[in-house]
Amino acid sequence: MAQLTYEIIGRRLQSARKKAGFTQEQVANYLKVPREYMSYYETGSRAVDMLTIDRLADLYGYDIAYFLDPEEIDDFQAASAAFRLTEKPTEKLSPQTLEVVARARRIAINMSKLNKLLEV
Amino acid sequence: MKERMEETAWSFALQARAQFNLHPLEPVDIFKEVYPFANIICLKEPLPDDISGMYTNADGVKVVIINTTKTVGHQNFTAAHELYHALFEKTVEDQLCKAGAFDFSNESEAVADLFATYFLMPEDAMRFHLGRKMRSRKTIEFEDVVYLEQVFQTSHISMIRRLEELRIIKKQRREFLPDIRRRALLLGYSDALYRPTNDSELISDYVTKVATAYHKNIISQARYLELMADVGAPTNLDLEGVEDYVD
Repeated sequence: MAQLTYEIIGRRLQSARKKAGFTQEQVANYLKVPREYMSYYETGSRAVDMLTIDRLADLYGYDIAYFLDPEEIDDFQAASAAFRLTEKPTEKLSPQTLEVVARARRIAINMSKLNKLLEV
Repeated sequence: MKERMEETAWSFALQARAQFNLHPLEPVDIFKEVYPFANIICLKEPLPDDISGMYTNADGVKVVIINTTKTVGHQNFTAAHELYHALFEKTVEDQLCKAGAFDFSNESEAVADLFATYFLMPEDAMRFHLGRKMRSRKTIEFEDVVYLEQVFQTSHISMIRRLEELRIIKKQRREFLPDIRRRALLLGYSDALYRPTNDSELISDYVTKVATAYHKNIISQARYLELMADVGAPTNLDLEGVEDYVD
C-alpha cells in the first residue's frame, strides 16, 4: 500500500488551489498565516494539520478525502472529486469573503453527500 | 449589446414567473413563493459589506447566500439577481455579486440585474398598481413612488430606476431620491423595507434531510451536529427549555 506523504498532500493542495484560481497570498490571508507557509504546505516541507486541510478543501470545493488518499490519484479521479466547481474568481477577495465562499461550498458538498446517502 | 441583454433578461423573467405560477400583475414574495420551490439552498445571513450575495454550484447542488446587512429591498433584489444565475446560467463559476450595479461590461452580472428588475417589477404590474393609486391624476408624486416600492418590496433606488426606464419619471430623480426612510415614515409607512435585518435564515430542506439521515442511523450524532452547525441550525440540545407562546 502506498504511503501518504506531506509532499503528496502538498502537490494536491497546489493543484486544487490553481484550479480554483486563487493565489497563495489570498489563501494565506484566508488561513491567517504568512504567505511562505503556503509554499511550505504545497512543497510538503512543512507539516499541514487536518484543520487546515479541511478549511482548504472547503475553499477549493473538494472533498477532504481527496487530499488524504495514499494512492496516486490521476487527473480523471481528481476532476471527479472536485465537485465541478468554480473556474476563476477574478475579483480581489477579502479573507472574510473567502470564508463565505468556503462556507457556501461546504453546504453544497454536504447536501450533495446527503442526497447520495438518502439516494435522492 | 444592451438591447440584446435586455431582451434575454426579459424573456427569462417571463419564463421564471410562469415557472413559479406567479400572477403577471402581482408582486412576488421571492423568499416564500420562489426559493422554497426552486431546488436551491438559500441562506440569508450577515456577510461582509462589499458583497450583496453569492451563488455557487457544487455537484449539481445550488447554493445562494444573501447578505442581511443590506436593506430588505436590496435583499429582495439580490435574491432575484442570484435566482437568474441559479436557474439560467450554464456555467458553474461562482458569482460574488454586487446586485444593482448594472455593470454592462460584465454581461452575466448586467443580465442578472436586468432579470431581477423585470422579474420583481414587470411593466404591466407596475402600470396596473400605479394606475390604481393615481386614478385620474396625471403627474406622478413622491408618495406614488413610495406606494409602488411598498407594494413590490423593492429598494427605493431600484424603483426610481425602473420608473425612469419606463419613462414614467423623467426629471424628478433629485426630488424623489433623498431621505427615503424619514419621508416614508412621515407618509405612514413602516421603514422596515429600508433597513437591514441582520438576521439568519435557511430556506431549504437541508435540515430535514440531515435529521432523516440521523434518525435512519445513516450518519453519527457527531456528524449530525456538525452538519447542523454548518448552516447555523439549532438541534434538540440547543432548544431545551424553549417556551411556546399561546396564540
